[in-house]
Amino acid sequence: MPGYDRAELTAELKVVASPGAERTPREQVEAVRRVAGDSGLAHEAGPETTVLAGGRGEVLDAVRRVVETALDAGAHVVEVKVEAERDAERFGS
Amino acid sequence: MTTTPTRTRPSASRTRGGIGESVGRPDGVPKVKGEFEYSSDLHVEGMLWGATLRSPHPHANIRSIYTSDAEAMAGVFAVLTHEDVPGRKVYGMEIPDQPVLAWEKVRYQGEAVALVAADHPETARLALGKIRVDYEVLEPVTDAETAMSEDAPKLHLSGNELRRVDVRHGDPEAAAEVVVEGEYEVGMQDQAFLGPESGLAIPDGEGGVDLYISTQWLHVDQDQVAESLDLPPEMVRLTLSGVGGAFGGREDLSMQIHACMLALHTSRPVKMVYGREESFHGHVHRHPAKMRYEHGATRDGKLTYVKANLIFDGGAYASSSNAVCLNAATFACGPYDVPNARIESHMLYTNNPPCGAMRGFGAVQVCFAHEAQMDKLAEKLGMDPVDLRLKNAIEPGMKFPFGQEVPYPAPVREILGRVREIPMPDEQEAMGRDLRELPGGVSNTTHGEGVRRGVGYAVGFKNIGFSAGFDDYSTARISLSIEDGEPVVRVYTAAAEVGQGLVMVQAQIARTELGVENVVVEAADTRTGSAGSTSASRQSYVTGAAVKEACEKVRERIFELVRDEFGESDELAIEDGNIISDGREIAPLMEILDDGEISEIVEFHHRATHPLDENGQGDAHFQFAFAAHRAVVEVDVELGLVRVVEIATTQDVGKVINPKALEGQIEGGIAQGLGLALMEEIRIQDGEIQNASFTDYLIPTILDMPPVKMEILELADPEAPYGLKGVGEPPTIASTPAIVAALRNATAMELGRIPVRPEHIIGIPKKPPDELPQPESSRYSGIGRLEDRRET
Amino acid sequence: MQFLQPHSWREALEARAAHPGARPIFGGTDVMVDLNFGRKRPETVIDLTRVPEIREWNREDGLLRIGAGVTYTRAITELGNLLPGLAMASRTVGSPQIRNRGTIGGNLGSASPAGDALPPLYASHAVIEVASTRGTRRIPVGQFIIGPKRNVLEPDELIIAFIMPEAEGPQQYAKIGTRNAMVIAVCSFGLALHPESRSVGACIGSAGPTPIQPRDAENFIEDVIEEHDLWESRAEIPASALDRFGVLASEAAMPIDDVRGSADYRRHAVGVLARRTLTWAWNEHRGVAG
Repeated sequence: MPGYDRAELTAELKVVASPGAERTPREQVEAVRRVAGDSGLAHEAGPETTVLAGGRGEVLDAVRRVVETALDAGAHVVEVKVEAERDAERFGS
Repeated sequence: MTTTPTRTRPSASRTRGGIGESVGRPDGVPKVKGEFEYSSDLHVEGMLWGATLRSPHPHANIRSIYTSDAEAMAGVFAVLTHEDVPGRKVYGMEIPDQPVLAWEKVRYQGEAVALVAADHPETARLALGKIRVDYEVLEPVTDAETAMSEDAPKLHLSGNELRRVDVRHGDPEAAAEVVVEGEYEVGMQDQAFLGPESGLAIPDGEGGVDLYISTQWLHVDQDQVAESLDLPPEMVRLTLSGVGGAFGGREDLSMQIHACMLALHTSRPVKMVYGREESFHGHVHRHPAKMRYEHGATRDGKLTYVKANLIFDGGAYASSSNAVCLNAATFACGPYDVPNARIESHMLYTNNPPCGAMRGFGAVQVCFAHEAQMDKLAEKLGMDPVDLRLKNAIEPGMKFPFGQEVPYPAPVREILGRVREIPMPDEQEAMGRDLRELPGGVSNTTHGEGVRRGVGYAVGFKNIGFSAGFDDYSTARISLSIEDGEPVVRVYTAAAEVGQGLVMVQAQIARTELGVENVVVEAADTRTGSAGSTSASRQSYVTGAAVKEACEKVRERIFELVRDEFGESDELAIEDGNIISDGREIAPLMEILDDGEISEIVEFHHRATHPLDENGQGDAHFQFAFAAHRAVVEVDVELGLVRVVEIATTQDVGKVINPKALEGQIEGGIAQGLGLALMEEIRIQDGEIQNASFTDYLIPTILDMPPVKMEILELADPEAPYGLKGVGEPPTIASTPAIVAALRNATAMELGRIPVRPEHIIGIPKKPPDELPQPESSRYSGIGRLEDRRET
Repeated sequence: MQFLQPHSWREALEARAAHPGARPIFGGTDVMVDLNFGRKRPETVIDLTRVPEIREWNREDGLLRIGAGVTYTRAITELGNLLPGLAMASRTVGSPQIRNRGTIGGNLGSASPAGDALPPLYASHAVIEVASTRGTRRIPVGQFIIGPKRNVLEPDELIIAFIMPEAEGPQQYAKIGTRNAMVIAVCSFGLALHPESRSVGACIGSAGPTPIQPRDAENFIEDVIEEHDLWESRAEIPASALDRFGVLASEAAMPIDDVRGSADYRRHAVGVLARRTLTWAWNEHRGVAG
């Protein structure tokens, strides 16, 4: 949890890349990153992990788009962890 | 230096060492004698030494990291990379966007890539040299404007604009009779704290770890460390060790996660200490800024509008850039009544070193610009610069451009008027003076030739405490008991003492509230709840309030006992260890306490603040502090060398808690303001720091600092404990523009960039070495190898 | 690493001959920085602080012979009247702690163009005495330093002393730094009047690959003084000549751009310092204040 700014919702997405798919694992991760980046809410959080942070509605919309992109790129497993900041109101936006 | 206080003496407690006194620091003598244990002095038997491998490139992909050779070295106990981070692989003050250890990419020169633990610091250093990292070097994005352009490479997934804050107030089309424009630039200043990043991590043998650390906020460190170690907070316990200054540079993590990772991996205590050069790479700096301003006013000097476009270079990672961007936007107009304002504040990612909190936090940069603008306007109008400011000074009841009503007290007019009235230093004949009283000093550059005097004024302000909805509360536990036949008060907080003197303030408050002289402020650790950050000049207010309220609760319980036992119904008080009523002594405290202990804990929350809406409107801050400065300088106009003759300042502090400490804060803040005006800058070329040492990152010495004359206003803030206001940052904000204004007064040069260099003062444009002589050319043999000449 | 501590000059020379490339150390204000940063890791270091010969200074054949181990502080306190230019330059070095340890011999050994003590040595035509087990030789300082951080010392030689005349006329030294203490010179200027030889010695520091003696400037002003018979009359040097001296000095500088300053600024500043130091020295010669 960062100090100054706490988003209402964060979603951590990890593409478990499938080797047998049309696109290479690298391409799967790249595709996911591109779409996540387009949402304006994303940051890299690990070698295959992307975090989306923001208001509830926009994050959940972006999660859907990212997961769809991952599946379309051939991934079979996408780990999604969503966390709601309990005290979001107390910590600004 | 003279202090001319203008306070009325309150009815002080007769207990010695209470608020209002210049109580000495408990750590003062040990620090001077070299006996104080700083975090870099920590030692434990059997400890290992940690070291960090850092990227030499400002922008590169990592193809591979080969650690086997390093691991095989005798004396090396661990070599760790991102794969060894147990939990969250990123951290950050606002947005967790910074890798604990880089995996695929490095975004700034100095970014951490790998860690080593060894039984000797030299071994650790040599082991770093054996780690092979295969980099694919990329072109760095080296300035904010490039980062903003359409075809700039995206340094982070969601682009290079980290944040944009707009403040829209009044009529965007408002026209004015007189208009002045200007472009201003602030270079990258560094906190330059003397104590290097350092700490000691000790594994507890049960999967947890104790970290002894220099930092500004124990709990935010604990949060981030626990996340990255994938441990619950109770297994990551932090204790504050001796801190050698901070000024914002320790708010972000440096070696905390690293040391804990190494300690847990090796099951040994691990100590890490950064060298000075590494320190410059290892902490965030002040945001460089480019600002375009336009001020419009009526012909008789009433401001009509302020338009500003602010571009900040946030560097590679977010740190607290979000909040700096917001702060700058809210303070961009200065403490003036501005009917119409359009402010755009942009924060950009680049491949420059990451920037974050530094004393002043966004207000410093805009104050330089808006004060230069006010002087420009005054000149165009033919008005005295102080009169112009007085005419437009904001007042309680008016509204700031971001919509919040100006609270009482906001004595802008008063402090400006008073600083002007402080007697000017005598003007001495330049020829025939002692060298030390001339620009250049004993370097003997002038005997009075070319010396011209100048005077400049500036006023600035800033928020105290965190803003825009953030609840930065503080927790204090007070315990009162009898020890060795005497009453003792123990104060427990997690508040970081970084050299500013909070340990004294806490003790002074406890003495005043409980009438007990013997007060012990315990070492800060995470067993007590969060005290919030030692930043934003907020600790005296927020932790002070927590301590005060907890003492009040303890006091109430004592009075309850007294009422039960003695049936006293009159007003009770504690003074000098005795319970008194109406001047009568009822009983000594010792008797009431007997053998028991009374303990109370308080979590203090200040008034709520609110985020800004899309027009930059909102009640964003809970306290404002103001300071005005006058600088008198002498300039050798042929050489561009400067001597600051005197700085005078007036500041509203609400209530003086410790006069000596206040003087220290004011002088220290002014020293940093002087540094930014004249000499402090991290020079960056193509993303690489050129002066990562105190040889060439110059901070003011005793021979550069002038005497400071202070006038202190104590106008109580009705919501603050004792009416006090935070004092640490205001001295740093307007001192810089006052000095530059004085330089302009002496030289008639524009001086739109700080730090001001001798070249600018005499009007020689600074030419970067765009054309280095080539080895074949005739000029090359004459000057030798440039690399040789760049060292001493 | 071997750390040798000879107790006599003979022992020191033998140690150096036996370990060519061994690094001599006295005050350590330069050598220790290199060692601590890992820039240099010599196999052998020779500690000269126990060699009494290089800590002394004395008069010899009407000249001053000053051991390489005389510190800046001692130059100020003991040689202030005899070598005022050198004392002024020493006063601008670092801080009191550094001045207590650093030596002029060290400045010669590191041969940095920014060495504060060097311009006064050039301005008074100092001669450097170096020795080895093979014997002694003397080299004029202008031929001793041949490039940035390069001198003509052979691997088996050590600097024992520098020899220069006692001041027979006014001397000056000025240094530009962007703060008032502990700063590496952006540029500097040393000047010495030699009425007996009817010459003016000048030297530019920190604005070239080595300290630079601006011969055109020296010759020009010597001619002006001769022409107007000023050595004897002690009348004013015309302002236009002082200006021209500054311009010629400025033209002799070969500065670079770096973090401390731009080449243009250095060139300009050298000219100003040249003019001012000559004015002050000449005023002193005239017996006039300023």
